[in-house]
Amino acid sequence: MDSPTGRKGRRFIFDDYSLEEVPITERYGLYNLFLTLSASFGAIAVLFAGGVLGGGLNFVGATIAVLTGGTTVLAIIGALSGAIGAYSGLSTYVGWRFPFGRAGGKILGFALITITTGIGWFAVESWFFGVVMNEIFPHSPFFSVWAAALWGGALMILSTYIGYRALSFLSYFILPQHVWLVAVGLLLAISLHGGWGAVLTATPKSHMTLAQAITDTVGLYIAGSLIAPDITRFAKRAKDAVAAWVLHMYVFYPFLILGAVAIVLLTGSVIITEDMLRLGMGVGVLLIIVLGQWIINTVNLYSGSLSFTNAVPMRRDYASILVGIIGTLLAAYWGYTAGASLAPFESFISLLGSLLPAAGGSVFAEFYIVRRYFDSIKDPYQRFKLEPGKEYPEVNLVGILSFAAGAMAGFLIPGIAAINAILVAFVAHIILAYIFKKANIKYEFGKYVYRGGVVK
Amino acid sequence: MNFYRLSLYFFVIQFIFSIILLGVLFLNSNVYAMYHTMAVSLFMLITSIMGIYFAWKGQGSRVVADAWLIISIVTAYIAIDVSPFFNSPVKPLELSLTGIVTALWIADLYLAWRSRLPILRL
Repeated sequence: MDSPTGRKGRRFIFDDYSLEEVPITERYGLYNLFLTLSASFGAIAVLFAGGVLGGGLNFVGATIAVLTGGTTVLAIIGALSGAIGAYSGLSTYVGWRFPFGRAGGKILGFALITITTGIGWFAVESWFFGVVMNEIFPHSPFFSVWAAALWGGALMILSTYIGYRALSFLSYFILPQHVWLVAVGLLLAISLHGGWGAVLTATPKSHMTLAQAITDTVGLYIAGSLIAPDITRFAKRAKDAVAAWVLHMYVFYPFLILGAVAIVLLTGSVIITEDMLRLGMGVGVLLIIVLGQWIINTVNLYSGSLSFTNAVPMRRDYASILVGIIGTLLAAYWGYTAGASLAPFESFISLLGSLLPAAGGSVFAEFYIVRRYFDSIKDPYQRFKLEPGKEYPEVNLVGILSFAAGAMAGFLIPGIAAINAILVAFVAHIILAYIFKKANIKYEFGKYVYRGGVVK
Repeated sequence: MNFYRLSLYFFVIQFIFSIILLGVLFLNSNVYAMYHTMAVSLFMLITSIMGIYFAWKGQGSRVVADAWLIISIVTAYIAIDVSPFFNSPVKPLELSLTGIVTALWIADLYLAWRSRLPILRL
């Protein structure tokens, strides 16, 4: 059989169906999804973000910001996005072929994910891994910044090469551990620094407005919410993907971020790992840092390799090596030159990354409105379905224009930039699609025949 | 040997270890170490009871999920317990027992893999 779902035997065990629908036999249940999503997008980044929040807000303020603002908004966006992944079984970037066309999806995926997440943040995290290792073992050449960045990067490339199986493996191991370690840190901080009452009355060292805190909590996780299909395409059912996402947003994310806020408020330093070291957690902190960075960088490179494979057809496992080597060498270079040129590069990839929400708005509009109501495709499994031998457009002008509108809104309209970008792109996509369709104006250009996603 | 029978034995060993740890709680010289030991021994007790049921009923994937959870939490416990903050006279015993439990479940996962049980498909 030729269909992706019915094919017997896989061509490449580590390709992870990079350009095709994940067969139903290769998908996972709610427990797996919950662990993998929580560990992949949460972990150490959320702890550090909690540290920053605790530096500017008291505990009640931080709770309001996280629960009412961040968590709810992110739960909705991630659930919408995750459901698309589970319904289509396609990676985020292959799914982008519908709202933007194949060429549009390739360019956007390469610019917004391969460069930013796959190379940029992977390099920054690998470099940071080297810095942390060097701080812990300052006198060993094996743990010098550039050397640790090199072997740490190699380790992360290896797990990304394996793909989703490695992500699952790391998640089963890392997530319960993180929860345990943070819980112990929290209980220690509370018992050593005046009890629960001290958490509620502690005042932060500096000031942050509630709006700024909500913006920060949304901004921290918005990219993860929008590229959730990279993980949720492995969900057996859409409701598993949605439940896993919402559950991790309301249980895991607030626990980690508010746990970090409490620890920081009680101990003083906004660097959460330093606080935990001071609390006497020793090797436990090392575990958090090493394993947390390992999994978060595996996800960075995994998404980078998927988007690269979408742009330049090659096996995903090979793409992970190629993209990973570029990132690792960059990290080692920064390590060798003591962090030279890092700040401008971070600004550049942050700028590119801020365009991602606009793409998300177009995708939501295409899947939930245009295909459902304008094209009358009621079955959500058929809305983003790539069928071998069928023709699809190279460029979708509606998607490109709405993306541009959303991106501009993100920069120009005051408020939460990511949400503004998503909403404007969403509305613009619907209006433009309606106008083009009603006026019978052609908005899809070029044609290609989908060959089944087989990469040789 | 049958995977389920072996897992059952491992869970019974863990159950006995958790009872021993609960029994030596009062020997801890500081309250933080005592609470930490109490938490891990209760965790080991609960997961061993769950595991005995799963192994008895032949629920392979649940045995595997339980094994992963135990390895993850117990290694986190060991990582914190070796820090000087938790110094107490019973630490060598605690580290030995939890170390054995970790080794048992790594071996069990290996056996599950050899028995063609999907250890990464929970």
